[in-house]
Amino acid sequence: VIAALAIALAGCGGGTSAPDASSDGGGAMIVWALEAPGEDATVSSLEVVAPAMVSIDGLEGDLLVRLEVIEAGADVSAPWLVPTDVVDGGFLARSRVVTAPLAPIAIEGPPGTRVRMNIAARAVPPDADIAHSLTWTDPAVADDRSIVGPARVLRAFSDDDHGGVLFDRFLRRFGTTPHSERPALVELADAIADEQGADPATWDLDALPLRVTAVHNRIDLRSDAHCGELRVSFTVTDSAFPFVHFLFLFAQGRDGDVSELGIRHCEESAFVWARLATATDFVDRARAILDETLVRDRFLLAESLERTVGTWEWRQWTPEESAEPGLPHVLENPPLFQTIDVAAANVPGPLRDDLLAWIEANAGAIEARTIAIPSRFAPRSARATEGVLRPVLDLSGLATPRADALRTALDRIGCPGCHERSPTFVQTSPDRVFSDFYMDELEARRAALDAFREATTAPRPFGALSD
Amino acid sequence: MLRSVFLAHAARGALRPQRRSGSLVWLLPLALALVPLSRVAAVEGARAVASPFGGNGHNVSFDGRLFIARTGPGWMAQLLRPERITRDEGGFPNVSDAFTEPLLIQLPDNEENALAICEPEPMPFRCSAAGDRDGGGDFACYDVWVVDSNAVVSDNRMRRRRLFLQVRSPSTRDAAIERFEWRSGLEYLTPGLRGIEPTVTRDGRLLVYQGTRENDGMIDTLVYSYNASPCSLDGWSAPQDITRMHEDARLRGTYRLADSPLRAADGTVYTDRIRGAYPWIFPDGEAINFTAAPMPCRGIEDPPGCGPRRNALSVLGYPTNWALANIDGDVNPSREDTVRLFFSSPGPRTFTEIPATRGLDVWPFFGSNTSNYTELVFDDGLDGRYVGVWHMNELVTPAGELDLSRTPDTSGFFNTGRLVGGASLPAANNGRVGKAVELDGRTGRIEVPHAASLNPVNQLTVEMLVRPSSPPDCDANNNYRFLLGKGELDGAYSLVFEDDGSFQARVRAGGEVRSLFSGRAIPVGTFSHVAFVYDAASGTLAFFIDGAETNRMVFGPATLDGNREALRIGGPGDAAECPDGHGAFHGAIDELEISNVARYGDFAPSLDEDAGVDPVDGGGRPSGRDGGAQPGRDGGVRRDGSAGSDGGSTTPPAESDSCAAAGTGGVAAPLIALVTLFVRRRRS
Repeated sequence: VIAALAIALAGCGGGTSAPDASSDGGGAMIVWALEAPGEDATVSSLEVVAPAMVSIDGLEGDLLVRLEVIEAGADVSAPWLVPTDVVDGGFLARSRVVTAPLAPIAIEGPPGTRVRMNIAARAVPPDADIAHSLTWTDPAVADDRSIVGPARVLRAFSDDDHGGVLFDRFLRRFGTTPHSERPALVELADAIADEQGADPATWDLDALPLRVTAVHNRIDLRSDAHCGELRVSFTVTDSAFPFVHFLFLFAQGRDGDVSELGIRHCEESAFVWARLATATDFVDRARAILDETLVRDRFLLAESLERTVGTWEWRQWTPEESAEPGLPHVLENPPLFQTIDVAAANVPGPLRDDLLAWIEANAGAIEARTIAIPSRFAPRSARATEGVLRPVLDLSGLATPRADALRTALDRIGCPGCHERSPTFVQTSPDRVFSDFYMDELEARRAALDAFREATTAPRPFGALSD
Repeated sequence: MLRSVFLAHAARGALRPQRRSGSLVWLLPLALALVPLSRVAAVEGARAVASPFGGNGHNVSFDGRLFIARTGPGWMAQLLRPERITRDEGGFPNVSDAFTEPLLIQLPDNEENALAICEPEPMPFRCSAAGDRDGGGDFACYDVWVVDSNAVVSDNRMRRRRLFLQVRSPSTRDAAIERFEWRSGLEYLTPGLRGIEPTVTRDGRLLVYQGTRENDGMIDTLVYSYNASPCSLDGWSAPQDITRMHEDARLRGTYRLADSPLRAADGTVYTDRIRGAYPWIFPDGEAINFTAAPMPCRGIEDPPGCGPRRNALSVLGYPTNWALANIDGDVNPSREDTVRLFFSSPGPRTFTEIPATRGLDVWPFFGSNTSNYTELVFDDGLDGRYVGVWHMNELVTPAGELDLSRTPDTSGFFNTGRLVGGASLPAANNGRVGKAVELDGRTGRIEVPHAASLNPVNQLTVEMLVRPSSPPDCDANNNYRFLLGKGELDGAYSLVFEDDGSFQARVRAGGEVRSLFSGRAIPVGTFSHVAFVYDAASGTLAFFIDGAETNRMVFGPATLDGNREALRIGGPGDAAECPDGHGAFHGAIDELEISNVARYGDFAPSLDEDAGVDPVDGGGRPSGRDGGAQPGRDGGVRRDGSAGSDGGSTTPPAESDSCAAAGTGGVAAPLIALVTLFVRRRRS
């Protein structure tokens, strides 16, 4: 036996560019020796030359193993190895539970073909739970302003390392947006200025009338760009503004979430969240996640949900470059993601004709909830009035017989559609109580987080997971 | 005299001693005679018309069909048969044939009066002739608990008894009570709750009544008790002021009334008690209506039933932005002459026949003591695009008194107006809708402090009903009158009543004052609806009289500048009776509404009586009901919330060729010609 013992590197990481060990091959059995993994993954790389057999040593019992193979023309196989992402140059077998000892990996193909393998093995994470793995309302985290207070979050969404000026501008912008003016938010800015002075750059942001209602793990929203979102939701505590909520969204992602082949699997992030379910040092781990995530480069957008007067109004706010003094970026209110302006679309005219044609052409993808709604059909805010029935998208004239199903799908893929399914329009109350709809959704997200242990790659449709 | 003493206590804010609420049973014929039948459309308090349902304390089942009311003989049960509701010539519901004959179900052996109908499960259920549950049965059966208290000779302890009531031909125009039986005796709730006029939510868990948190038998404040077990005999929580509901974790998130601190009409957050009587809680705990102020006595029983809190029927809850809203309309006909007590609703969407009034959220209500039917429209608070709505009625203070020196803003922004000088609110309704402010043409005005909400940026609509009492033209000088202005005439926006009876609107936008004449005069002595609309994107300023566009100019696009000046309504300050310019308005102003959206010409239904209700042959849902509050694509909205008919255009309606810079024109030109003065001698 010609053995080339791989030097296993324990700990986090992955996607290493240089192998930890290599073999000249020759069809012999190669032993890839790994250190026994614990909660942290054992990560190692091995480069071999086909043909070869690779025996993994050092693993015992049930483990979660991810293996990436970078090859050009070789066949790499093992009974326990199930490729999930096959790309040019190799494949990734996402983490799944296997029982060691593992059958050897066979590497076949033209002699001399070089194959590189990256393995991550770890103890199987516990079942995720809602209170730690999906949302944080624990006062030890949510009420600790050094962990996730308004000053911290607003500093992370601004360019000036403070956030007061941008937050003030954000509130005042509600009063000037052409599609809808919400002057109560301007009055909130005025009230803060009365309390803390006219210069928002000097405001004590932790003294703002804001309370964290929850931190939300939205790893289910992972995409090609990031590993989902971490959201911090706030409610305004000034009794003059009783129904004002803000959410600040930051991109998630950790070292090792993207493989050497460029496949974003997000497993490292997922398993960190899952392990919080049984962690005895939950607060410290939560702080670490927030330390990593609440940074300017990760800020994605803000959302507002307010019923300052009469109607609920829901908006998104994205950073845009600005020429305003002291504000390289400001928050502006773009068309809503995955939302149709129903009132406008119901009016006969070019917009309606355009929408109906788009629906006809994309009926299958709409019903499967896999298509993005073009922004030309979207409103800049969604409004809802308690006690008043929502307008229904009029699909009369549509040739397809599945108009009802399409209407339902279109309604359910956008954020407003979900919010309006809660009697109070709000999913997280100022008391940190979740709506029934949100609880259903959290259960679905919990299952989705657990599914990271099962090498799941099924594309997530737009809209609620619980539907 | 005794009642006068009680009134004096109430006026000073003291708790009223226990007092029977049944003293008005015999007021019914009188009340009927006093209910005005004037044509009133929407805006919070709709018309009130006569109803055959009458009595004193009453309540309604949650299916909206079973009414139980105290009349002279005792508790009477009646069925509402909406299938028999027709429409009058104005399209308003005619309920004269809607009720079955009253059936006596309980003698007043224990001073039975005000009651709550508590349903441990949704009622009625289908049943057989024998009264057994039978999904295919021909009958409907109610098996409910009736909660009441003896407000006369006992210590107001809440009690319950079980009522079984069977209905034949249910949910038809021939529905009738087949039989009833009491299936239990009187049982007193525990722990004991002392109060009167109970009302309970659909789920049977939240009981609201007139009592005190001290549970000492006193009344005059609104309190609640909660029980996780619906309609139960035991387990009721200690009474607490409804002002604390938002702090009660059992209630928050379940009952919308508990979603927010409750506010007085001026925006003050209630921190202690809410004075109130004759409460009725909306079925799911969304809101509450009650009488919020005492009815003063001119003498003994003058007016009949005076003394207690039987004035200012008001609503408080989600449709009023959790603030007390004193209803402006026929159900509050006078603050001095008629009392009002119990009102309840079968619900806004229970029946297709009622309500008929269009609006975002409209609730039908029956009054028992007043034997009337009305429809309350909550668009003012729910629309979300009004920055000020002044119905021009009295403000109810946090202490539960009428404040004649202030008029509330029900938009939700609490831009309360203060009446100054010769501005007054008459005792009896004098407006096109409810009450209107009377201005003496010299010192009378209303002042509203500056607020950010009063500075719209992109769009502005100012509309009001005005009734000049005299022609402004009083001598050879320019006698124009300052009707409204945020600042002076060159301020953020203003409206002048020219001495030829027309108007001039101004807005400051892009650093310049933009002005538009109405191109049409209005008559003296009657209400006219006047409005001007500015759209910054197009720079269009348009004027409307009685819903018809009378003039329009297109300036360059420019947003409104705004300012930090106060808003003044009706006058600039003290002015001469016949001023040489810049005078004060002499007449009445009603229903002043300022919006941060352009409401192009679509002022119905709130101010257009004829368009305020569904067609007589309606029967379907009011057209505005489904409209929601969705904005039109151009940001302009119609009153019913639907998008404008311009199909998503980002511009206002096309400019009429005949609209000259300062001339008359537009589609209404022939009509305008009838009233326009052809020679304009003077302009403000």
